[in-house]
Amino acid sequence: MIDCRAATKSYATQPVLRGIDLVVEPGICALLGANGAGKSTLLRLLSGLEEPDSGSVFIGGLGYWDHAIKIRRNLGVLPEGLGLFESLTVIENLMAIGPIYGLTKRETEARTTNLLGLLDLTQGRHTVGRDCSFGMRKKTALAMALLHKPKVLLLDEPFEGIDPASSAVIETLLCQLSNNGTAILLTSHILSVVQKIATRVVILHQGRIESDFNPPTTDEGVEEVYFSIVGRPQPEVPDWLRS
Amino acid sequence: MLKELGSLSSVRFNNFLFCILFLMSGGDLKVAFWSTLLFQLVLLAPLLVTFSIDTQHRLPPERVATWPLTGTRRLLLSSVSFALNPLFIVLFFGYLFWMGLAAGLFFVLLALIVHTTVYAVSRLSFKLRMPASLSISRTPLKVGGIAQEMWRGLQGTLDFWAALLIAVTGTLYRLFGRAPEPEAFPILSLFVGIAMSTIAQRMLRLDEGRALLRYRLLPIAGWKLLVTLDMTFLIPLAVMVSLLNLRTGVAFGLIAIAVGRYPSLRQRANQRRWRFVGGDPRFGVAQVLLGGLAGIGAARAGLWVLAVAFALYVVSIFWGELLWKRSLSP
Repeated sequence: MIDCRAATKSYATQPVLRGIDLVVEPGICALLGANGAGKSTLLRLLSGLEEPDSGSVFIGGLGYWDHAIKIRRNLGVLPEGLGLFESLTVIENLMAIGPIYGLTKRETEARTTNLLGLLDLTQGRHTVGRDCSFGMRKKTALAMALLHKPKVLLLDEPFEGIDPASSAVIETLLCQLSNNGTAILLTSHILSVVQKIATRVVILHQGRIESDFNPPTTDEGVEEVYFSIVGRPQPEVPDWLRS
Repeated sequence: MLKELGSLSSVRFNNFLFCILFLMSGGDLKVAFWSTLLFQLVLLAPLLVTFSIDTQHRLPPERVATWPLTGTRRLLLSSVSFALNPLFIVLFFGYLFWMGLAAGLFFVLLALIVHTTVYAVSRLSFKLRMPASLSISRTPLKVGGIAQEMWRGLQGTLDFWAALLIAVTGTLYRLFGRAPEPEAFPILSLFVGIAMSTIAQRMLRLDEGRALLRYRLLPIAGWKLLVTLDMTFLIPLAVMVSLLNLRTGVAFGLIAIAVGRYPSLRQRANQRRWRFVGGDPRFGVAQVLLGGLAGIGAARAGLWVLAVAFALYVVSIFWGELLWKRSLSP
């Protein structure tokens, strides 16, 4: 469903992605890596927000240049910048995009009500985007990614900044979607959640894929593999913080 | 304070301000003050509203609640906060040295009137908001939500309110003035268009560029998105000039959008709310000159000039579609 072939990307002279080959089929694939490893950049390439310097990206066998609209109809994205309509309320954000994805007004309303309830947004549904807390903004953006029931989901840090109850709901939702054949690629720094829900883990280090494994088949947990690649930190706490 | 001044500096590249300065530059500065007084008031009124949105409103209420201030002190802070704005101080001294103490004091009086009005309105118990059931996104239009976001973004610019002030003043002059001069209506229409025109250069970034990310993720063709945004700009402009000179206003608007197409799609200049829109001076001059020619032409030569303006607008849509596709490139 997601097919990334030899993708490279640099900003100025700094290479961020160095030849990424990645095929993601239905299931939950977690993309891990330290800050600056290239996770968000890879997600931007896969969402069609940027073009790779070389290599190619296909979603459902289609390329962005010729089939951007077709791809986007079946693609749900939670981008790093969230992409809310800041002047609209939470409910208006969802109602605004439903018809563009081909949903009827009635379908949009029904799905919006469901998602607001699931993500605990019902109470704040009339809050304008710019006045929402970070968690509310992220949950709204996630609801916008799920509204049209996409076949491919690209989620940039969906669990960060979210309360534990909503986090548990999101875990259940994603597992259900992946069981129904949705290909999900998500980035996260919360290894315990990744260990729980991911069917595959890809670790990105300095712009390259360093490890690609299925957590249930390895003896080691995700955390051990992660730290064996990026190195376990040995912090020396300065004296002024100790005393 | 420097940050605040920086945020207001966008007004330097605003088409409307450029035109007022151009009108002033012709002759004696004292004479220029009186000949452009109406436009100065139109420019100052929305600007003074932003000065009045006092310090307390810009900070989270929970933080303000922790400040060790008595009720009297809070009221005092609210009462003088508009005068703490650096641009207010610059303008006060500008008027003082330009026209003397009387003009300086008149400026302070105007600021006080605006401030008192804003203070009173902000403390009204009711909210002047459209009920959710009447919101545009509930219309059968697929792109209604995008239009709604653009419409609210438009209302968040001071340019919109300046244009509305000119339009209302002009319309009142036409309806109730003693023997209104017919030649004045196309000119007033042009000024409404000029006041709105800088917005056309920042159409996709009125909310500091945040909606742009969502636009790129939606399954919508670039041209459809552009037409939606353009119509949300053009329809209010047409309503404003409808009782002045519709042909002039629409012709100017079409050209302003066509010329503003490139900067709106390619320049990464995000617009802050409650500020005058800051544009690119090169495109601003082109908008005013070409739009002015089209506007006057439409008023004098007839509908064919409007047709030419529309043709240029259509060309800009196709060009915009190409730019939209290329905008994926870094």
